[in-house]
Amino acid sequence: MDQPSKKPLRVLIFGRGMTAELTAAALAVGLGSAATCIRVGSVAPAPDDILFGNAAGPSAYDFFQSIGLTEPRLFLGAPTSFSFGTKFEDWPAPGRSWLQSFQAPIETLFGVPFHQFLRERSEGLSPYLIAAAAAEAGKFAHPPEEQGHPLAKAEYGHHISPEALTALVGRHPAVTAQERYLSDGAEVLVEDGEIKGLKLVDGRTVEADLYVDCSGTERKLASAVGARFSAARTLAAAHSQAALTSPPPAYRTVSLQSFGYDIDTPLQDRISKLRVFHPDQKQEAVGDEEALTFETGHVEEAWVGNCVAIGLASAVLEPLTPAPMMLLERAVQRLVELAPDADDMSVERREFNRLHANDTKNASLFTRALFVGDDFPDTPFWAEAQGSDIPSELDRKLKQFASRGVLVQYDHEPFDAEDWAVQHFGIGRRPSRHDAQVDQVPTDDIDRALTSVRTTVDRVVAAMPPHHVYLTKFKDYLTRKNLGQS
Amino acid sequence: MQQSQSVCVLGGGTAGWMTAAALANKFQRSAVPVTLIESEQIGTVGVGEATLPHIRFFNQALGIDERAFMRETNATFKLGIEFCDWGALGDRYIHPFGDYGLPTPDNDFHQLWLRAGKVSKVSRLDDYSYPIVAAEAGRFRIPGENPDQIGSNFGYAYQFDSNLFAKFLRGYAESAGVERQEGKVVDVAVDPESGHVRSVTLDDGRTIEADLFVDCSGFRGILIEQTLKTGYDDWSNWLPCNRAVAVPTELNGKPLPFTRATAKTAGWQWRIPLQHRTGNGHVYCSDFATDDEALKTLMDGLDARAIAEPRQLFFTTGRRKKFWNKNVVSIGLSGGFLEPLESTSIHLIQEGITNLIELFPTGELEPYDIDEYNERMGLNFERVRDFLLLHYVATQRDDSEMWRHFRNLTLPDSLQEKIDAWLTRGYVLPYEFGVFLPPSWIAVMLGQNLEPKNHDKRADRIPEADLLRYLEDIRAKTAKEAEATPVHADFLERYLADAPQAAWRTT
Repeated sequence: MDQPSKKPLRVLIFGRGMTAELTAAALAVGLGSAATCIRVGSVAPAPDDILFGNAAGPSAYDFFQSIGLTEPRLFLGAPTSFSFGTKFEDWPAPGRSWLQSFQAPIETLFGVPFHQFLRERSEGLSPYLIAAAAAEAGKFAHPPEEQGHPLAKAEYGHHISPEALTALVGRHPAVTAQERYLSDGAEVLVEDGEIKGLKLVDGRTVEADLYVDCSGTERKLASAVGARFSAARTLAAAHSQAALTSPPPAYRTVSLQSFGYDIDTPLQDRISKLRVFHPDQKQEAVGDEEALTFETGHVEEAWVGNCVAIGLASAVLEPLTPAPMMLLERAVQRLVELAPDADDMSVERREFNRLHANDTKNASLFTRALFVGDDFPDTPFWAEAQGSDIPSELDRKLKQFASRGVLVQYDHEPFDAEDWAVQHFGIGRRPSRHDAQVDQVPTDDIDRALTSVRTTVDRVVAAMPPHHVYLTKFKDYLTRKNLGQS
Repeated sequence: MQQSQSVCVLGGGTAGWMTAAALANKFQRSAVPVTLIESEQIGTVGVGEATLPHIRFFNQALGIDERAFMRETNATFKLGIEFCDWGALGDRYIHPFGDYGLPTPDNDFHQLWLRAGKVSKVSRLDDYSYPIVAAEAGRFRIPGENPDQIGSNFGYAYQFDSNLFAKFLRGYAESAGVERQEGKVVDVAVDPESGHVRSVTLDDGRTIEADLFVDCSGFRGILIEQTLKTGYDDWSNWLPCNRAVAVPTELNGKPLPFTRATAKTAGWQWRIPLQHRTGNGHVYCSDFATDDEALKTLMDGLDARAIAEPRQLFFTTGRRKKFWNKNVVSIGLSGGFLEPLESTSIHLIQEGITNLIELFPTGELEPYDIDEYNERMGLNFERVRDFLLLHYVATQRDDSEMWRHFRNLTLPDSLQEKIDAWLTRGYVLPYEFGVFLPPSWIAVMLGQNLEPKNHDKRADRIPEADLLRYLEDIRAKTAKEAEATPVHADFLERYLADAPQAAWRTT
């Protein structure tokens, strides 16, 4: 039996869609009876959830698990598929394609960071990364727990359907037990910078100690308490679905277009297609079809007064990477960890905002770096993408890598050193020098060691099953064992 | 192969020989010529006889046999630091090298303990830390291999004679090809165009040229400051202690596996037990005590007979504006000084060396290497500074001018926020890059009586009886593990009984 030491915190979660459901589940599971969650918003998908880009990285695994979204549920209750990463096609220019794969820390070679040995090698990093090689070959298998196995170095995430997850999590017992008002409209009652209540369409007023804004790009509550949104650029996105025409690979594809980019995400039974473009290039991109116009950027403070903005209400990043989902996970976990007392939230607010600022800044660096290069098209989308200032933190990262392959990292970045190495090599950046310790190793020894790594990767990949075969067998197994309901 | 550099290390103390040994080891094949200049006429400060667990990685990287090293340096094992009289007179706690309790999936262990303390009487948090319980009982053994087990989830360091460590490394470095030059630098030639140090001239007229100079000349900073006028950020406003007086004593009983730092009215006193003697010193601020008063405090606080004359040291807390300037890298006291309250002196040397190796120049010096080195070392110093300052401000003491000074100090925002978050809910603002991680902050804040008002609400999910049972289980296992641990001195004796000789001649 839970025995909270204080009166439960009343938390009102406003909004619909994946963010609202995940937040509601995480608060319910994480805080138990220390908090009472009230919901305002319909049980329905949110149109702007397309901006998550269907991508959940490896870090989402634990998050999903923590709220009971086990793989059996994810795969039997939704059209989830496996993901080894994202393939960038013709990026930055036709002919260059590379896989931004998920990767556990890469082991050092002769005591020196692995990538330091690759400066003069045209093949780059991908052939040495098990996840990238397997993805390219259309293969997948769960990494074994045995740490010595080469496949254990592969990390994987999931291709998700926000719509399906919204429905799935919405049926979570902890969520269905919450007091819920099925109203998407509400008047926000604000007094002295704090929300006093939400006046629903039917005239009822709902009050709480803490309000969580999950209204996506609308930012209804956050705007009401004066959260300032710092916009980076205005873009548009159009979403569609297509039937599978070939076995789905375990990666998303981002292909560069003159008007922006297309993201194809293979789910179990279909391809989720997202086209992101510059509004001035709408005709070229989608003609007269409907599209969602949105601003990228972030609120300067995600927690203002007694209102916390989560998910797209706090930051909108381009869906090129799993960053939107990563920021959502981090914010929800942080809110659970920093759940305040009703009478004074100042310390929690300050810390939440500090970490929000760090996360959005650091995730934005990774996205911004994807637009650094000389060969991008000369069109409005790309001119604007490349036109914004390069923050000093990114400048340091780029210069250090260019100088001698040093991977600069800041505290608790969402993207780790491996992610950065993969991006640098993938996009075609090469250091002009290498770590002086590389010269300590005879060339023959380096060649032998690198060949050995590649051979191992090739051997393991050859033995792996195709992604779609694995997926089918995995689902059969889960169904046979009746695990989807467990 | 990229072009290699010739290196001249100026100064043969701990910093100098650690640097020379590491460079010789790392750049054996490309035969980076390393010359070290030292003068037997110039004494070394012999910074930090107590270390942090990271030193083990330094030794391992050099292939140094632990037992040979310990025997040659009269080393003892160290499980943490005991702080006496810091929060209030009569208080004591140990800052251990290790976490409290065991990792739990959703809660930090200390949060469970905080909650339990609200509903029942529980043991001190220290009783859930194996290194603390073992240290208090004067026991030690090497950690087991499974870090998830009580009795294995801790680190250890050494307490050693740093002069002997320097000698030990001298043997290592010379056998690895480092050329030692005896002499005092009397002149430094600087290239008028680049501003780089071109050569140094010794008192016998010899001139030594190098591409890169590592200034390990101690507080004087012969190259980094006297020659290049790099400048110094004075941090005395935060950490005003500016003098120390040190004296060794005979060993009093068996050596304990921890260092002690006892707060005084104008500073603090260290006690570091080695195999053959105890190192003692009093760090103080000259605004709050005269040298005579400080010496008396030191001598009154000794627990055994002094075996040498006390030595006086003068310093200014702070850091060089650039640790690496032109072609001079300052490592050790020439780069900056932070009082050794948390045994960080040798650690900061090690950080300097590790970063220098990673950014070791090839061919022409690149400003990017220099900038990166300075960024990293600056962050290291600043984060240690904040942690040291915590000891002085997390206190109820107001019994002297120094303590009243700290009570009225406006703290750096980063530290104030950390303290506020702790007091509110036992939350430790995390960072990734820095030597002191959350368990260290918890040890000091709790040890100095900063008691959080609330705890993480997730800790409320566990039923009270289960929580108390869980904690008691951990406490009992910790006590049992500690009881089964050998007495430190006995372990040391057995461990070193057949210690191998160093593979090189020690001087």
